Amino acid sequence: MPTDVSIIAADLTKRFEEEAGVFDLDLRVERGRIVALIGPSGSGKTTTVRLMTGLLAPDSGSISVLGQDPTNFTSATRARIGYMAQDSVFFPDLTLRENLNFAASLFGVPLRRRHRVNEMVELLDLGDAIDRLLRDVSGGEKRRLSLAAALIHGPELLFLDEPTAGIDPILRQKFWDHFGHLSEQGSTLMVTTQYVGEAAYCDLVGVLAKGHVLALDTPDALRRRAFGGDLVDVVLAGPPTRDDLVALTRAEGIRKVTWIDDHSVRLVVEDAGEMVSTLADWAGQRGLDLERSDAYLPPFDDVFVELVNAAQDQVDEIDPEADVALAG
Amino acid sequence: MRSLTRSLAFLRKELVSVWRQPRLIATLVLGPFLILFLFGLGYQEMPEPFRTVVVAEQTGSAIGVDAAELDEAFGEGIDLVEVTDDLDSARQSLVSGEIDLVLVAPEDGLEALEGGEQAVFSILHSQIDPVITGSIDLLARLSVDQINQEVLTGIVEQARTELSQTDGPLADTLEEVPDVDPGLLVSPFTVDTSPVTEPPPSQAAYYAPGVLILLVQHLSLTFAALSLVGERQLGMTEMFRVSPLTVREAMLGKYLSFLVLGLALATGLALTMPLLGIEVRGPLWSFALTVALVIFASLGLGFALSGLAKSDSQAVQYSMVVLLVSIFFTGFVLPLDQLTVPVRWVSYLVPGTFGIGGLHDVIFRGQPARPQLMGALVIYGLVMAALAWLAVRKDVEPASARTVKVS
Repeated sequence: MPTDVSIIAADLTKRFEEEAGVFDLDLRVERGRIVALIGPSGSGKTTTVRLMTGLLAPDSGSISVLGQDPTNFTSATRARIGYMAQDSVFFPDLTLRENLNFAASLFGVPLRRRHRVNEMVELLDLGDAIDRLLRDVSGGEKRRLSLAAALIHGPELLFLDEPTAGIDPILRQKFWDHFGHLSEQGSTLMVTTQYVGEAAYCDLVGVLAKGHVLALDTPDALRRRAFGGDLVDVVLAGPPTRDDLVALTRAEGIRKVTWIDDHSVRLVVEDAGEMVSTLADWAGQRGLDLERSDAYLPPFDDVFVELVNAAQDQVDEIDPEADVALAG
Repeated sequence: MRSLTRSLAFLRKELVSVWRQPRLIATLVLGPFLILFLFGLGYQEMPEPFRTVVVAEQTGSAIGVDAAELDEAFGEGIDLVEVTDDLDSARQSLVSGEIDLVLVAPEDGLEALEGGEQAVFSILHSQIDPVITGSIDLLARLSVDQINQEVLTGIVEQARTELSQTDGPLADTLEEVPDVDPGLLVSPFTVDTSPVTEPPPSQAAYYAPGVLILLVQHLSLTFAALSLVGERQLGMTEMFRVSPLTVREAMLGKYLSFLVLGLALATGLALTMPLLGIEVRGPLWSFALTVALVIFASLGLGFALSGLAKSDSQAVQYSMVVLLVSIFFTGFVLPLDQLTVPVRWVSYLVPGTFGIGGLHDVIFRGQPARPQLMGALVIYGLVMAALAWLAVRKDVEPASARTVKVS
């Protein structure tokens, strides 16, 4: 495996029951990328992470993480990996600082680590809670401790299983800023989330449902795939006629036109960047007063719903909104 | 260095966790001190004397009815409450628990003797404890022996007096015989037991090493089992499996943690021994080695048992079963020699058996613990460590690394 590729999986399958597990997963994540796995509960996100970390062995297929089969990770390779489990698990009779130090020791951080610990405390806003016993802190603080424990040794590959669950929006934004910073520094991150909107922060997004990857691409590409192209909102001074819109659908590069209201329509186009002149020509020919036209970036929740709906044939009876927090 | 850091993380975590649980310390650590102290303080080597009523006819009885003489004849084991001729009343007192024994003297003792038969003393009691019943039997025999001696001594004295007042060959012979005490004549032999090594301990002292070993064994085993099961229940094992932690590092950390705790506990217990009048006559290094090996072996047993336990309550149940086995089979209560050979193998399944023997050597015999006992503890500890390895491996290595991969 080339050194600039962190994860390669091919036909990876782990079956628990007939429809539970992960099936035929193909994935390639280059170094320094953030990949998000989104999907409802039971879609296979956590199973995928557990396969990548070696916690589970696949039934079939192949997988390589940092150049090794996860089931044969050496200690040295494990020290390069950070992992945040879905459930916060630490020792209730230790303070958050003691728990963090324990995790640091497990991953081989030298004993002179006060500065590093303080960095984590500041990053994760744990200042008030750091010297309290774990059993006395809130669920959100426990999640932040878990994230701190995953980051404390500066891993080059991070598996974060729903890191932002139960975290307030301001801190969530801070987390994603830091993930972006880690990515810029060369760390690779695989993040699972039920906050579908968070996929927009990632370089690569895998949409999972019932153990199958419905789509795996960049956020922009997924948007295009979901809606059949770029979206452009057009606002006119007066209401267009039906003939005006029929003419618009015949213009080059325009695939679909839908009403928004009397004065506005939404277009699905091949390339939003090339639409300015096309729209100007159309408005001039039809004698319409074009107030403005803007590329529209739909929320990723909508993208997710569209993708899942489109894949109904693949995964029967799926409820695209089940267990998905439609957060921004 | 990183490996040591990981092991030390467990040491620190276990010590802090125990320290943060004051109730656990109170019940598991301070409790044993209190138990040992109370045991030494409250144990009576001499049981309470049996409150006894003697029933004897005023005439015709084989014994005299002077209460003071009887009291002296019975010794410390019997507290003579009264001498009476009312058997029914004495029986009533026995049933109501006012007294412990009724000694019924034979009504026709002299007649029985003249008829060539032994006169029988009857002893009535209401005890159900076989040990106490045995004590009563022994005490009765000793008391009757004493009475027999008194009777014979009186007869010898009387015969000597009567012979000395007669003329004839017997009287001449008597004059040639030295003036031997009649008591010596009827009881010419006695016995004196003495150990070839150090003087034997008191009963309370004898049990103290057993208490120490069983407490140390029980606590080490329980702490070890609960530690692994607790981590499993918390879900910490997932982090262990993803981290670079190795089985060796985890085991080293765990063993170190509880060895420190166990030795601290044992030191505290050992320091209470002089307060109970128990002196360690042998070398202290052997004392420390014995205790350390018992802790080592018990920790292994605890870790191994944790592999079978699915919850902390199950782990505690297992440790209680081991404690129960230890009480009966380690020589703590009953000597190992009283167990049949097949059953004696059960004794060797718990480290306390070797530990108690070792501490008896050091504390009472004034010599280092027998090498075979120490060797047995080492072997036992290593076997348990191997089993513990399997239990810890399950928690530290990912399941994927322990299974055959399909493809």
